Amino acid sequence: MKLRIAISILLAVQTISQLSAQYQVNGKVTAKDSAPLVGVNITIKGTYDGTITDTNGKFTLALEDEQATLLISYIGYQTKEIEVNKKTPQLSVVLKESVTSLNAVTITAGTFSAGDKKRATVLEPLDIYTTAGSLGDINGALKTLPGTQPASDDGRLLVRGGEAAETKVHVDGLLAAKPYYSKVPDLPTRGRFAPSLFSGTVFSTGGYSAEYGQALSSILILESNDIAIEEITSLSIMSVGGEASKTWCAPNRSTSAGVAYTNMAPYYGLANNRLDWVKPTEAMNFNFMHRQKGKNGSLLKVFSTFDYGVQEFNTSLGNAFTNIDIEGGSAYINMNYSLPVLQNSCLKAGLASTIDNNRQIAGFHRTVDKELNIEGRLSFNHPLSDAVDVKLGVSDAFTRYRQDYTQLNASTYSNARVDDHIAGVFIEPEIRLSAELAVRPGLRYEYSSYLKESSWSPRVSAAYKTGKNSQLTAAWGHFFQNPVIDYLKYTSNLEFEKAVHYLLGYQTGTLKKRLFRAEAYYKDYKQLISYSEYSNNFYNNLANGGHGYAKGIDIFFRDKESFKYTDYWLSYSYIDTKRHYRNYPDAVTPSYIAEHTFSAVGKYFIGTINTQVGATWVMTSGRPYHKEGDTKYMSRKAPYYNDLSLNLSHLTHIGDHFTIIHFSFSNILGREHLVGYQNIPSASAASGYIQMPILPDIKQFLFLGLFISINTK
Amino acid sequence: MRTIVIILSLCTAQLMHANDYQKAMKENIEKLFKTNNVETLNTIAASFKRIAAVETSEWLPGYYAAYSYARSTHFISESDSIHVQLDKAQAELNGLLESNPDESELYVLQAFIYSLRITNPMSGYKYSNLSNEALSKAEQLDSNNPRVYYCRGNNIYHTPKMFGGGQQKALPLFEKAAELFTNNKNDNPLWPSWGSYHNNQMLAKCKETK
Repeated sequence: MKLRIAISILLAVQTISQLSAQYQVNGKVTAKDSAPLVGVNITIKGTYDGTITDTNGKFTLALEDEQATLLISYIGYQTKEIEVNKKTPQLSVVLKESVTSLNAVTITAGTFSAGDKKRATVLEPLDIYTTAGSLGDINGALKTLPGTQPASDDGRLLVRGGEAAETKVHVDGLLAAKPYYSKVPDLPTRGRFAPSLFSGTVFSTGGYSAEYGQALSSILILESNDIAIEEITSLSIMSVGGEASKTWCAPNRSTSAGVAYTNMAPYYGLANNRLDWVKPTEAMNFNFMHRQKGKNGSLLKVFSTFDYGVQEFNTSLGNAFTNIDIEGGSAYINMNYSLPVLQNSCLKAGLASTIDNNRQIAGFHRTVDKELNIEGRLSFNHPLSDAVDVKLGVSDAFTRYRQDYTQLNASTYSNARVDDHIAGVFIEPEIRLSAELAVRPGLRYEYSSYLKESSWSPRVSAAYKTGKNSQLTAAWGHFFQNPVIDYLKYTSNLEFEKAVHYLLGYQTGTLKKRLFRAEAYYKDYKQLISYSEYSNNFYNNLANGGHGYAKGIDIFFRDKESFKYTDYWLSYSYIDTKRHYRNYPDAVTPSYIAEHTFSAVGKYFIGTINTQVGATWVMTSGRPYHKEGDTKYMSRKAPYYNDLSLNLSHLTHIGDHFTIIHFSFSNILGREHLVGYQNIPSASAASGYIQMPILPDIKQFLFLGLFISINTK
Repeated sequence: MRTIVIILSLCTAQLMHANDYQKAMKENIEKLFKTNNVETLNTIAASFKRIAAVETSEWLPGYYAAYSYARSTHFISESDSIHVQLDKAQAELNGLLESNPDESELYVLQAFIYSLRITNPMSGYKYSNLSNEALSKAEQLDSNNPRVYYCRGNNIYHTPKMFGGGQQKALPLFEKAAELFTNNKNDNPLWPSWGSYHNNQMLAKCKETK
C-alpha cells in the first residue's frame, strides 16, 4: 500500500512538473558590431534542450522551470550565461570574441610563414618546390618575399640591409650553425637542408621573439616533418645527380633515411662555364630522421644530415689564373624532446651539434677550418590563463673553431683558435588583452665567454585587429650578435654588434583568396666591426667603431581568387641603407644592396594535361660598386638586374608509381647578370688594380628531374 | 519504506538519465539521416552539441555534431559555404581528437572532411594526401573499421587514373568495406554506421563498367 502511494506520489510529481506552465523567452544575439550571429546555440543549462538563432540572429525558446539559466555559445566567442524567468523581457545578447579563437589577433610583425594555419602564413609548403628559379632550395623560394635581396652572386638570405651572417637558421628551435654549403668566392651557395624534410617554415625579417638571439637581422625557423604515417620509398633522377629515400612507419613512430649524390660534371660538359673547372662539384649527402611518440604524450625527434663534397676550378685574375680547390664535410645532428607537463604546459629539451671541416687551397694559400658547434636548450611553455602564455628558456651555444693557414710557396704558417660559450636566458609572455589586441613583451640576456661581454635585449611586439581579416602590427627590439669568426679569430677584444628594429605593418585578406601585406621599418646599427686596412692576412685597428641604418617598405600581395587555376604573388621592397663599417671611408650603401626589388611569381595549373607551369620574374635596380681610384667611395652603379625563370611540373605515373617530371629554366632571356666589380690588386704594383666583373658561372641553367614515389602497397 | 522510495526514485532518475542520452542521441541520429536540408542539419548539429556539453565524457555527441556539418555539404553547391560548414566540423573535431587520440572513427571523419574540401582540381593533390594520411592513421588504430576502406575507395575512385586512381583500383576497397559493413557491426547502437548504403552504390558502379 505504502509503496503504491509512494509511486503515485512520484508519478504525480512528474506529471505536475510536466504540467507546470510553459512560457517563452525571445531574444537576439549579435556580435560587438551589432551584426546578427546565425546558428548560435542556446542551451538550457544542464539539459539537452535548446535552440539556435535564425538568419536574423533571433531565437524563441519554450521553458518550463520557473528559473532557468541559458547558455549562449558560438564558435570563436566567449560563452555567456543568462538567468531567465517568466518576467524576462526580450533578450538582447552581445557576444564577445574569444581570445583563443582562430580568428583572434595574432602577432605577425616581420614574420612570413609557410605551412601552419597561423595568420603569418603567406606560403604553403609545396610552394618551395613549385617556385620557378628556386631550384629546390628553401632560400630560393624565400627570396621571392619582400625584404630580401635576390643577390644572385650569394645565394644566402640577405635581409633588410643585413649581411648574410645576420640571418640565423634554426631547426626545431635549435641552431643550425652551418645552414649553407661553404661559400666559395665567385659562386653562390645553396641551403644544406632539402625542403622535403620540413613541413613548416617561419621566416622573420625583423622584430622577432626573445627566444632567439645572435642574429642582427633575421631568423629562419624550419620545422621538421612530424611522425610519418605512410611508408614511402622515393627515387629521384636529376640532370645533376640522384636521390633515394625511404620511410618506415609503425604506430607512434617513424624512421626515414635518405641518400643523395650530386655531380655537376655532365652538365658542365654541355654548358658554357665562365670558370675553368678542374673538378666540377661532386657531393654526397645522407640524412636520417626518427620520430617517436611516448605514452605520456612526449615526442622525440632526431634529425641529422651528413655531407661531403669536393670542387676545383681556375678563376682568372686579370691575366693570371688562380686555382681554387676545396674539400669539405659537415655533420649536423639535432635531437629534440618535448614533454607535456602539468596541464597544457610543455617542457622542451634539445641538443644540436654541427661539425664542419673544410680545406681550401686558393693559389698558394692553404686554409684548413675545423669548427664544432653544440647548442643545448631547455624551454618551458606555460599558459597562465586563456589570455596569457608564458615562454621561458635557457640555452648555451658552444663554438670551438680552429684554423690552420699555410702559404705553400713560403714557410709562413699561422693558426687561430676561438672557444666561445654563449649563454642565453629569455622570458616572454604573450598577452591577449582582448580578441582584438595582443602584446608580446620579451627580455633576453646573453653572455659570451670569449668576448666577456653581456647584453640585455628588451623586445615588444603587438597586433591590433582592425577588421575581420585585417590587422595592424608593430614591433620594437634590441638585437645583439657576436662578430663573425673571421674577425673573432684575431682578437677577443671586441664587443657584440647591435641593431635596434622598429617596424609597423598592416595586413588584410586571407591566403585562401587574396592577401595584402605592407610593412615599414627602421633599423639602427651600432658597434659594427671596423678596421683601417686589411693586409698580409691581418686587419689593422679592428674595433667596434662602425654604425649604420636601414629603412624601407616591404609590400606583398598574393592572389588565388581572381583568375581561375592561377595563383600568383607580387613583392616589392624599397630600401635606403648606409653603413660606415669595415674599412669604408664613408657611410655608403654596401655593394650587396639594390634599392628597389620587384618580384612576381605565377603558377598556372592546366588540368587537362596535369601540368603546372610556373614563372618567376625578378627585377632590381643596379647595385653600387667601387672603382679603385674614384674619389667618392662606392659611387658607381651596376646595371639593373632582370631575371625570368620558368618551370614546368608534369604529374604522371610510371607503372603504379606516382611520378613528377620537373623541368626548369633560369634566366630564359639570356641576360648578362652583371652585379658589380671586384677590385683586385694586379700582379705588378705599377698597373694598380684590376676590375673583375662579378658574373655568374653559367649564364642560364637548365634542370630536368624525375621524382618517383614508389608505391609498395 | 522511506529508504525504498528514495532508492527507487534515485534509480529511476539514473535510469531516466541514461535513457535520455540514448533516446536523445537516437532521435537526432535518425533525423540526421532523414534530412537533406542544410538548415535542419545545422539545427541537429546544435542539438548534438548541447548533448556534448552535458555528457562531457562521451565523444559520440561531438562526433555527430561534426558529422552533421560535414554531411550538410552534400546539399550545398557553392564552394565558400562548403568551407564554412567544414570549418565548423573541423572546430568540433579538433577538440575530440585531442581528448580521444586513439579513436579510429575520429580519423575517418577527419579524412572525410579533408576529401570534402576538394572543391577545385588545384586543391585535389593537397587534400587527397591529407585525407589518405588520416585514413592510414585510422587503419592503424582499427584495421576492421569499414569506413576506412569505404573512404579510401572513394578517394581512389575520384583520383584520376593517371595518378594511380580509378574504378578498378577502388573496387577491392569497396569490396572489403562491404564485407566489414556486414560482418563487423558494433554492439553500440549509437556507433557510427554511415557509408554502407553509398558503398553498395559505388560497388555496383564499379562492377557495372567492369
